[in-house]
Amino acid sequence: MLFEKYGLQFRSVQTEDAAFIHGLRTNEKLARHLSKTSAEIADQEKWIGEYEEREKIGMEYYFVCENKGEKMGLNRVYEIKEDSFEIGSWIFKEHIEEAIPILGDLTIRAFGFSVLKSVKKHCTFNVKKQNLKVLRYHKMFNPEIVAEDEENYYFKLSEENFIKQKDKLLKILGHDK
Amino acid sequence: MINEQVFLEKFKEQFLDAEDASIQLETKFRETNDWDSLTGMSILVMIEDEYSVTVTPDELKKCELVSDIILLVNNKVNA
Repeated sequence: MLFEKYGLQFRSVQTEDAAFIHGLRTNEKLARHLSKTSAEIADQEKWIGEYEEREKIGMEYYFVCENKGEKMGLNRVYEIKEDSFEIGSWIFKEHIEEAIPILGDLTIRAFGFSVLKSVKKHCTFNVKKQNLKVLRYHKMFNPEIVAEDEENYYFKLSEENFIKQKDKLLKILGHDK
Repeated sequence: MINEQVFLEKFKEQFLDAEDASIQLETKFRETNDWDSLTGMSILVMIEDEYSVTVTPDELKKCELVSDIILLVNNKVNA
């Protein structure tokens, strides 16, 4: 899988990306709200190998976002069903152009909606209650909280609400739809 | 003219971190610990919602101090 949007390149992760992924996911500041990652790059390589099998049958898509050949960050679409998909693994490098992580999220969510077959589409995601900035970002899209536990909120976002906010954010970021 | 103190309060709200409650008009906001792309996006959305003008990421990039953003927003509001 390879495509370009808003001047950024999105491609499926490969085994060679294991060190990049591992570096982001073990960065104390960036990954403090993500699930724990193994300390071994070899475990990441093994995980990617298994992922590649899931991608082949359209079960899951894990993207590396690049800007002019430089790896910027990651987004993942998984648990793809007839009318919904889950988004996650959103993590980007520090000290890059501020719009890039947002454009990455908008692009991959739009991609997720495009692969669903139903007309009533939604995406789901969960966010740690302590992850205040990401919570605020997601709440801009007016998602529905469908569950919560001690640690997380679980959200459901309709395609309609996504598109409304996506168009607003793209306008601010100076991009066409 | 927009009210500088009101803008500053709205600006500080975007940081969501008590450490950055010390942000003032002459603060180099990118040098604060809590600055990141989500904070930048929140500020751009706040300006759009509260002042009905669009500040682009490129324009924000050229601002160093909070007061630079206020000047930029003021110019756009009065254009």
